[in-house]
Amino acid sequence: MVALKKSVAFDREVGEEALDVAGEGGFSRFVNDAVAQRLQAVRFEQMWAEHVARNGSDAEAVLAEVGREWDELDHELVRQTAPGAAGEEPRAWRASSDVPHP
Amino acid sequence: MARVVRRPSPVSPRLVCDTGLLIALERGDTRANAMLLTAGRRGYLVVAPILVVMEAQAQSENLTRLNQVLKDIRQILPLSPDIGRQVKGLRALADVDSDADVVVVLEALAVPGSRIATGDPEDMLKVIAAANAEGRVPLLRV
Repeated sequence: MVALKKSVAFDREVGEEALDVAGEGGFSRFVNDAVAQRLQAVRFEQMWAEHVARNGSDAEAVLAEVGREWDELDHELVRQTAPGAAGEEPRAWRASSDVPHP
Repeated sequence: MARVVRRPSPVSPRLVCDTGLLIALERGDTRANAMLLTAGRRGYLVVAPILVVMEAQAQSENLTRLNQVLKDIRQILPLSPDIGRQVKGLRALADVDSDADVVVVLEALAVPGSRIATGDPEDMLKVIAAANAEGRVPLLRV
């Protein structure tokens, strides 16, 4: 475990929502997630560059296809969760994932 | 098609890995790698529940490569008590064989906006339906 002491300023709206979701005690999870996500993104860019170098330009077509699928799912999710869309609260919705990240 | 602009979430949404994604990554599958890249670029945190890691290790043909994949992802989720106590009931309700599938769905439901990458969408859909969460967790087929 490495402790980095850093003061971070958030926009009021984002900060209040983060506290609401994570709670005071779980706020470190928010920071951990954000940092971990950025580190992953950098690593995945490196992995992709290595993959393309090994497998050629066809990989870019696959990447574009995956991107289209994500866009379609985004639109479908927006449609299903739009105001007025029917749906009960899910039974498993309150499952906690407030687990420590390495 | 225009991109949907989502409201920023205070907690990174997740791409929860199923066993199929880890095995595909182990084998150097292009589509699986494209999923990781897309997740990274769109602000998703890629996570692998520990039960999924165990399943992948059991099915692996190359543990060295699988371990490298896990090292690259880094975010291995331990099984929390809150998730663990729901697994038995939800698995019975969904009538699926795999505890890991149930954990994947519960971990995705725990962070709004998350999605699942799976090689077995049929069983995932059963679990999602049993959790009364149809339409709330998009599935990406590996």
